[in-house]
Amino acid sequence: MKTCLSKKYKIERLKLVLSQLGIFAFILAFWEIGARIGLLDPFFFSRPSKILLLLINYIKSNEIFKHIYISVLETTLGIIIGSTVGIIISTLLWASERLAKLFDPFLVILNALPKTALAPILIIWAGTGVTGIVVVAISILIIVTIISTYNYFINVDPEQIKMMQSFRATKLQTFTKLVFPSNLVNIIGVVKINIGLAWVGVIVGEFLVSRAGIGYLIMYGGQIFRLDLVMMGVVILCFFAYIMYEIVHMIEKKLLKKRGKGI
Amino acid sequence: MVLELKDVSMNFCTKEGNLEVLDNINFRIDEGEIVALVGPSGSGKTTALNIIAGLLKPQAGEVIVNGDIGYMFQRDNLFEWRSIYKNVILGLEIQKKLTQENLEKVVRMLKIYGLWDFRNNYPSELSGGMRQRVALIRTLATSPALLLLDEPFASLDYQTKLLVSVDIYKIIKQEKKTTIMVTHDLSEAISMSDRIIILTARPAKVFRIHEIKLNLNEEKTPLTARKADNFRYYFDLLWRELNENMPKQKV
Repeated sequence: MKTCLSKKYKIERLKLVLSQLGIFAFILAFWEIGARIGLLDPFFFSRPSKILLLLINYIKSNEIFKHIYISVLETTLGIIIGSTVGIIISTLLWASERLAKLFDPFLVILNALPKTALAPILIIWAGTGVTGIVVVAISILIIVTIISTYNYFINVDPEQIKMMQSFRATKLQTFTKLVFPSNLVNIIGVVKINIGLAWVGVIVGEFLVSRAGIGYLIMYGGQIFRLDLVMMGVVILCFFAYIMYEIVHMIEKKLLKKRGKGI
Repeated sequence: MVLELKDVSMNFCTKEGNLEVLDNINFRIDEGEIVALVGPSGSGKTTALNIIAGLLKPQAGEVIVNGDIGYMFQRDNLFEWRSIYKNVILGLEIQKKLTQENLEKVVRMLKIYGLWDFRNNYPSELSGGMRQRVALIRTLATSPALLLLDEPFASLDYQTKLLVSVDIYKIIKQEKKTTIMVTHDLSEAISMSDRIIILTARPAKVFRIHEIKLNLNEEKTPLTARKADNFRYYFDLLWRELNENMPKQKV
């Protein structure tokens, strides 16, 4: 019975993956053929085979790795620093209702503000190198991190908080034994969203000032009307964003496995 | 004497103004007693428990508790990410009392009350009744002198409720715990407690205190108690007094 179910599940899954690959192949084929028979203007759309060739050349010349390294480094630093600092701030806001009330309007305004508008100033302040771009990435994800994790923290079941208090738990104990572990899955969810936001920050930062990085490649390609270069940048971007997502997903699985099935 | 309330009064400041909840509450509970706190809904029973537990400070009056308190809630509040064993030792962990002696006590209780084989399982793998037993052992692990039960069976279906109340009653009696329980279920109050304190509608005063003496030929459990010939008598008495104290309904 059990094996039968899992077999059925596997077949279902295989069907799904095959269909997804089918859609992907169809888009690529349509793009390639369309560009070759003149349905799509190759000047504006380039074509998959040309993009692939360019990628191979970039890999052969080792040039691509410099760009990937810079962007991945900036994004990773942005995610780690932004998420950590954001969670620490929301912990402080959770610990002190007065502090939370005090900063509430500021957070609302900062959240509503399109952070990319601040990018030019931030880069002037923090420098035009990796630091400046990491700061832009952090600025984009930190406010959302603070607001969402704070909301998760204050929405912990009040009866469970009361239970902790009935054991005379300190605020720190309530946090480390109840509030944080009960929101672990939510926090990982926030980090997953932060991957995308950090990439936005890094690409915007690199558009503004940089001599290397995937954002730089895309910008450069756009300026000299090399659409294959732009598309190559986008493909690399997709790939690494996905890899990062999978890494976080693996960490999540590992953490949840450690605490058993109880989540 | 384990607990004494002296002229305890409590009001809350709400947006609508001052809300008087408790008005000069006086009673005491002796060692080994099970006392039920019964009153119309919204009469401040839970507020009284919170004050006894030290989670709220009364506006006036004095609460004397000789020893620690253990608080058990309507829901079991087990942490899904902790194993049963880890859940049970939560209180000891918080109070930094993970001594050999206390851990042995936890192991003994888990064994007696049929949870030892499940110590490495997670709460989601246990039935509602078992979860409630785990919650009680977690509360008892810190050796409280007084046990507070806040409608501990209210979230269970009727059959489970009876079975769990038998379980919990036996554990309380075996561990000789002084207990004060809040309930709105009269049968539950009569079948479990030695005394019943009836509160009036808000602001709550102590209306009457009844000694429950059931005529029983067998050992008292919440189930056998219901067979006593004077069970009905107490039920009618309490029902009448509770109705007299219902808040005036607006028509």
